[in-house]
Formats: sequence, C-alpha cells, structure tokens
Amino acid sequence: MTILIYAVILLLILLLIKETVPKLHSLVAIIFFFIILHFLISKSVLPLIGQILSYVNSVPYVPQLVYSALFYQLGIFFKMLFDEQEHETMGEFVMFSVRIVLLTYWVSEFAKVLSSFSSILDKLQ
Amino acid sequence: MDELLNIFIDPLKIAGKSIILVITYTILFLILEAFVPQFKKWGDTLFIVVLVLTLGQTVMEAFSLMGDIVNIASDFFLSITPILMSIIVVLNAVFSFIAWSPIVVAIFDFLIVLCQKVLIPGIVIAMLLDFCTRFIGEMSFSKASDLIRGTVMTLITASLLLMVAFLSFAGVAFFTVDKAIASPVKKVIEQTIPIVGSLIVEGFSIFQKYQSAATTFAGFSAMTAFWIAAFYPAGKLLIHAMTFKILAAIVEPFSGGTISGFLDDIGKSLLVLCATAILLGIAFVFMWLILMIILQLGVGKNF
Repeated sequence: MTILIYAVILLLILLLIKETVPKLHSLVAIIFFFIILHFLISKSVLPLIGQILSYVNSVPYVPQLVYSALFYQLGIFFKMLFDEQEHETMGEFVMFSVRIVLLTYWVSEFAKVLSSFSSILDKLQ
Repeated sequence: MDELLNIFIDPLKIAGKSIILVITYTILFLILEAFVPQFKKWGDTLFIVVLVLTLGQTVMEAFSLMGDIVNIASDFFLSITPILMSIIVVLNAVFSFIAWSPIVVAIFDFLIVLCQKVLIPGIVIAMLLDFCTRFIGEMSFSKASDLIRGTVMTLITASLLLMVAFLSFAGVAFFTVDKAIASPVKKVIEQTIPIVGSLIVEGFSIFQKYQSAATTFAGFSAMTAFWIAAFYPAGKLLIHAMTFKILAAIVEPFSGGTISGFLDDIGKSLLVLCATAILLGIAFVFMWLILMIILQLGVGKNF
C-alpha cells in the first residue's frame, strides 16, 4: 500500500520536473524507477518469497522456480524501461540474456537426470 | 519383521510423497502464474522439467528394479538349466508321469531373453517418445509410443497364453481347485486395474490350479512366502504405476492437458512394465515348482 502512495508522489514529482526541466526528465525517471523497484523488492517481494519458501522448505526445486519467475519479471521491467527510452533492441537484449540464464540453469539440472537415465539404459545391455 | 513390513510400506510412502510433491508444485505454479502472467509459457515447460527431476527418481527406480530382476532371473535360469536337464535324463520314469518336457525350460529361457532384449528397451523407448511428444508440443509421437506399448503388451499376453496352453497340453495341470470361490474377487481386480488387471487374474488362476499340488510338497506358509518373493517386484511396480495414474487425475483440473497426459502416459508405461514383471514372476514360480517336485520325487516321496 505504501508503495502505491510512493508511486503517486514520485509521479507528481516527475510531472513537475517534466514541466520545469524537460531535459532532465528521462534521467530522473530512470532514477525513480530504481528507487521504486528497490522498495518494491525489499519491502514486499522478498518477504513474500521468504514466507512461501518457509512453508515448503522440504520440497526440492521450489526456490529455483520462484526465483526464476522473479528474474523473468525483472527482465520484463528492464525491457519496458528500455522500450520507454525507445531502445527496443536493448530491451530485447535484456530478455534474451534472461532467457539464456534460465535455460543454462535448467538445462544443467536436467542433464543430471538424462545422464542417470542413460546409465540405466547401459545397465540393461 | 520390521524390515519385512518396510518392504511393503516403502512403495506406499513413495506414492504418498509424490502425491504431496505434485500438489505443492501445482499450487506453487498457480501462485507464480497469478503474480507473473508472462511466465506461463515457461511455467508449463518448467512444470514438466520439475516433475521429471523429482518423480524421475521413482521411474528410474522402477526400471533399475526391473533390470535387477531380469539379471537375477537370467542367472537363476542359467544355473538351473544343467541341473534340470540332467535330472530329466536320469529320472525318465518320473517325467513320463509329470510330463514336464524340456521344452518348458526352453520356453522360460526364451521369455527371459524376450524381456531383456525386446520388452524393457521397448518400454523405455515408448516413454522417451511420450516425453518428446509432451515437451516439443508441435510434434506428436503418441501413435508410435502407443504402438510400442500395444506390441509389448501383445507379446506378453501371447507368451503367457503359450505357456498356459503348453502346460495344459502336457498334462501338468492335474490338480484343479473350485473356481467359483475366487471368481468375484477376480472380476473386481480385472475391472479396477487397467491394462494388467486381466493378466493378474490369469496369473492367479494358473496358481490356483497348482496350489494344491505345490502345497502337498512344500506346505502352505512356504508357498505363500515364495509367491510374495516372486510377485513383490510386480506389486511394487503396480503401486508406482497407480501412483502416476492418481497424480494425472489430481493435476488435470489445474494445469492443461499436457502435464496430466504426460503423467498418464508414464503410468501406462509402468503398467506395461508391471505386466513384464508378472510374466517373469510366473516363469520364476514355475521353474521353482519343477525343481521342487523333482527334488521331492528324487528323495523318494510319494503323492
């Protein structure tokens, strides 16, 4: 809820800056983006994740899944930031790197299972 | 006694654990989809990956169990064949009475080779095809995997029928039990357990025929222990297979057809694997019966 009020206040300040110092507007907008993102993550997202993980700490792969989703969402935010500054290609780069990181992690996890599966096939021969 | 109990409780524990795991994952993925809607496409794929990572252990265990059984059985048959053959030559008169011909031994050996070289690799390939079907999406191999499973099942049924037919032609089935007592139970089993139900029932009725013959020689408790030993792997595989069927049923309403279909396919493959284990169990029991009868007749015991 506090985040909402912060956002409204920051929006007002942004509008004020846009009217008075238009050249600085986009720079300040990016700074505010990081401030709000910091508040959002440290005040509400991380506590929520900690709460979810504390319920299911014995179930494997839950933290990995939750952080994958968070990482993907952060990637989308950054992409939208780049899009706003009309750097669409850079935004795509961000998403591309996010996809690559996720794929690298999950493929390496999956490879363990594949190797044990092929060892069973060897055993049957 | 504790260890004996654990043998039967362990598969059920694994079943319960997998059900809880899958329910947790379903809830988690629903939460993730609510917070990060764009993640849905990844989520569906990751659900399959996580399922393979966590439940893959059970499937691997089932297959390695099956591999162990086949290896043990083939060692058993290999070591027992020379003894049986020499006794058959020596005790010719006994064999004209019981009419176990050497061909029975050959048939059992053939069964082992069939399991090792055709049936189990076939099931593994069917499961891989299922996985590819669900994972890739655009390409469907479901017809191929169904064909493989159907062929394996046909081979199992055909060899079982061959075995039963041969044994009754040879006149081995000289003791019969009243069928009326057990038939309602058989009907229930046949209808509740898909695919392998009729096979289990068929196995039961074979043993019903030989029960009195066998108990004459070995006593009831020894026979019971022996049956449990022979059919324990099949029972364990059956529990695993039913677990996957139940999981498919639980997951279906929450996540699209892909995941529940995948779980269902694994269940089907494990059921076919279970049928293979039953076949091996039947062959094992028969070999043991032959040996037992021969030994008892050899020391001069009469009916």
